[in-house]
Amino acid sequence: MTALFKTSAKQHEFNREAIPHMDILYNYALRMTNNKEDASDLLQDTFLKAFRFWDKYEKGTNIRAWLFRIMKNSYINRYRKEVKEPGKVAYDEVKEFYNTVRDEASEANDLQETVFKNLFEDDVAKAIAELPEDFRTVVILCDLEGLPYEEIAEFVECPLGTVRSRLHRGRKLLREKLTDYARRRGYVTND
Amino acid sequence: MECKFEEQICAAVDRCLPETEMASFLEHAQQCPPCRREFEMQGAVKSFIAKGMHRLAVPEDLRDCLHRQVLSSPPPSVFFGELFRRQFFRPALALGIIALVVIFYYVRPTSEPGIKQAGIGNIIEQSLANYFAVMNGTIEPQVKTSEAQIVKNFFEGKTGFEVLVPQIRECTLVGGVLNEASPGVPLAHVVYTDQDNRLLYLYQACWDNIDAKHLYLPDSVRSSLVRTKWYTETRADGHTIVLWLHGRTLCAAVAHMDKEELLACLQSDETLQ
Repeated sequence: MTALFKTSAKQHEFNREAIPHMDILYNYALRMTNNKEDASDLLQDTFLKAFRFWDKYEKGTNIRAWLFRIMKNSYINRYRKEVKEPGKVAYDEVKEFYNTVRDEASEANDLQETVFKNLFEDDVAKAIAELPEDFRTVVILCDLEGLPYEEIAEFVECPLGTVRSRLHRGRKLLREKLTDYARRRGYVTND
Repeated sequence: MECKFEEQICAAVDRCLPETEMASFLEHAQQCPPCRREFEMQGAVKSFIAKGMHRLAVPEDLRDCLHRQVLSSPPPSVFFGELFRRQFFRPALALGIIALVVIFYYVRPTSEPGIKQAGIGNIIEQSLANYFAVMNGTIEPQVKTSEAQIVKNFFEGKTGFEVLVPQIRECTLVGGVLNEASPGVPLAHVVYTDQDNRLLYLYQACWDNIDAKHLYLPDSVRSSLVRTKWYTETRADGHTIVLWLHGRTLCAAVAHMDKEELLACLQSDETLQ
């Protein structure tokens, strides 16, 4: 008893156009969920839905953005249920965090040299995972995946200015988190 | 930091500024320590993330699984619509139908009605055969996940009957397989493992397809299902098969357990009525 697989034009088209973006979507799912199993589930869900609704995809438009939107909706449906105010950045908390940061740290280049060279990938992954979701999304898409601002803006459904602002704040938060990790490990002193 | 160039820092780091604006910003940064520091720090963070974080490839088994799921989907009806509009298709189709009628009329099987070829189309034997095929890896799940909703989504719209993906006590969902007993007779298979890693396999078909032509049940099994909605059988080798009806869906569960243990696993509102 074997299944008879008959490859249709639709399947060929999907394999040719959508499947090549699997890696980038997988990495995005991994960074958002910080869990390989959840990322695998998210990826499966995304591609099954993408294939099911392949007729809805407008040929010639940005396929990657379309796939990302499907993944984003799946992510929201599955993982945002427990969050109190899904999709919103707790800006009051972020502002308070900024106010407590010691900007009088040593020169930028020395700090990067001291902080970054001693940190492991796990530390960076953890720091990214701890970012507020809106900042995390833009940092992942820009700095990890190298997407242009316009594509990121289309994905997060915000103006370009908002993308830049979130990137700016996200990187700043990330820097402080990484510095904090390095401080706790003794790579950086408070002197 | 209050500087009119502050909002350009991010774009400068990402090299998204037009050439003239980039040049202006860099010239400004040389004279503005806060902007220069922020520019260098953001650049360092970006560079560190990009170099420090490895991009992972999709695991091979996940990639294969997704590929199989896409390939196993039935062709869309659009294909047949386009085919039907082709010039020579209709005459060829008419000739084909006539040929089939002739063949069926003159070359049909002469077996007496009521005698079923042992094993072929017998749901009990098929369930057992599939159980062993899953166990030895001949049949692999096309969708591998522990999330019931993903498996349900996989089957949705493809079978013509409701596919159950029940919560089975003390068992973990492994995945699902979709195929056909014969053209136009879809089958859904759902696979679980229990805490001792024993396989629990569910075979599902549409009750309307249970007839002499495609799939059949021995008369005693059929009458038990019609009367009581369920049937159990334990083989000498210790494998138990439990059949039940859920609406139009015929379900068959197979596991290497005794009857009481398998029934206890299956006891839930959704699976047994």
